[in-house]
Amino acid sequence: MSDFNPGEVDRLAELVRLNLSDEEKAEFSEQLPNILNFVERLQSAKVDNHDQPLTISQDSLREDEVSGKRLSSEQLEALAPELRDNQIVVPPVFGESSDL
Amino acid sequence: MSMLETPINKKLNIFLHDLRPLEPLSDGLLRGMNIAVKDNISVEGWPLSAGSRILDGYVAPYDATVIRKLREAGATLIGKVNLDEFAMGSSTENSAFGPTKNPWDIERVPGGSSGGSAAVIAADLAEVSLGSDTGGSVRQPASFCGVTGFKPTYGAVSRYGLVALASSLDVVGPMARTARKVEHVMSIIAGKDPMDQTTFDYSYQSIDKDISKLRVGLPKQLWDIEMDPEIRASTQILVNFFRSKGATVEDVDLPSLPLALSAYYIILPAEVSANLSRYDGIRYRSSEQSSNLVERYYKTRSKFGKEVKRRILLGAYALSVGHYDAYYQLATKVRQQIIREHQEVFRKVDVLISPTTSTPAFKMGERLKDPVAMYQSDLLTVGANLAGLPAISLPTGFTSSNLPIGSQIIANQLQDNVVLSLARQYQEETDWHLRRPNG
Repeated sequence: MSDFNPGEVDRLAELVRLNLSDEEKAEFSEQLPNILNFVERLQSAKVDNHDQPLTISQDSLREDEVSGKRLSSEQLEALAPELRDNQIVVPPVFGESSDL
Repeated sequence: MSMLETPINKKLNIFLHDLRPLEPLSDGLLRGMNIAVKDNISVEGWPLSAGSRILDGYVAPYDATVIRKLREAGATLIGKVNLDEFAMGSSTENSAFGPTKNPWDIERVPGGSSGGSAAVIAADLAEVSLGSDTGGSVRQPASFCGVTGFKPTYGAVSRYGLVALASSLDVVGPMARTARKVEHVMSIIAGKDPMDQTTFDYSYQSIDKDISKLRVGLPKQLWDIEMDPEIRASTQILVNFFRSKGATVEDVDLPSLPLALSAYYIILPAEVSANLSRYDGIRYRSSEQSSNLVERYYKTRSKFGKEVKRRILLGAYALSVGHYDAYYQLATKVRQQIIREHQEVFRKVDVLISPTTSTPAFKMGERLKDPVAMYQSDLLTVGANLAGLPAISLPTGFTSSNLPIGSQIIANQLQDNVVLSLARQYQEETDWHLRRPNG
């Protein structure tokens, strides 16, 4: 049932922002349908529609308060690729090549 | 002294980064205990790689809750240990820092993804280690390395500071030679954490489970699979141990279990594709020059290894328009069925017993070409993750080629102390867990 055609890997790679080498594209184009075949046996499952909670804890939103813990300037400097005036420098969101 | 440059580490490749031991924050129950930490758990001031190059240069700015608790209880952290990249794998061959070798046979894998955490115990380089278990990643390497590895009930231990893989499945799990030591650690790390919404009020109490009143269930669907006959025989001996002390033993039916691995390999990649979208070249130090934001993403994310890329792509597929119902929704429904079937079975029995793995540790490279073959390593362990149940792997024997065999005990949610009590009692009368590799 899987409609995994050659362009599919390219389309997915664009969705998740991954550059793939030609070798990787070829490998994944072969492997992903195999994995999908393997998981396809789920199609044979008879399922009903009862909901089972996944967590024991059901009511655990805490108060919307600032906890007080923050990153120091030194920590920020160690974490950010580029810092200017204690602000993180990022590339332009809307740039010349903003083909999203 | 750093463990990194020692001869034993050069041979086994267990430790990552050049680190000196971290003294505890105060005195406590775990005074004097040496703990190694899987490198996907945050220790303030230490690098955190998650076995990947995409976190090159990243130093953790905070302690995971489990780390803070251990340090406040008097434990000494001795270093970070190797893992499959982003905890994806069953052999530790997917680490960007090279594979870890199994101390029992250096041509074989230690298992994964917590291969370093298991090997460090087997090689007597740490008393206790922390791993993480999402589909079997504590239990399977424990089995391959002849040590005791425990996966707590989902939500019993905080995930704050654990690099998120699949948030509905991930659990931090302690490993050691003995269930007794594992239990000491569990009593410290368990409990509700305001920083992890999925944790609940849980105060771990050690008990002595009365084996003469124990009801053991053997899941037909797990025992029916093809497996190494020496492993089957070894787990049978564990079952007979309990039977000889008065436990009742019966076959039980979990009809949806054969679908567990398929459901897992849809749910996991789906959650992975979401969780790993945060690695964007902005937040975690490592970055590539780029003229715009999208280019930054592409260039930075090319640092992921193959298995990580594979699962991100698979997850995106399972969640995308036109496939969501057929894959992710369906897998979630099957998961709920698996949960329900376990609940029904636990009305009739107290624990389930099965082997942990269907084969002993395989050779390096043996399963790398075929992802589906590698995924089969999780066959016996994923059910407990999907259903959020406590489960342990303990050493129950050796193959005729001297490779460790591990068996699994699973209980209902919140029955972590039952599992640990049974493992402790077994270890009081056997010595598999005390054996060491030669040379």
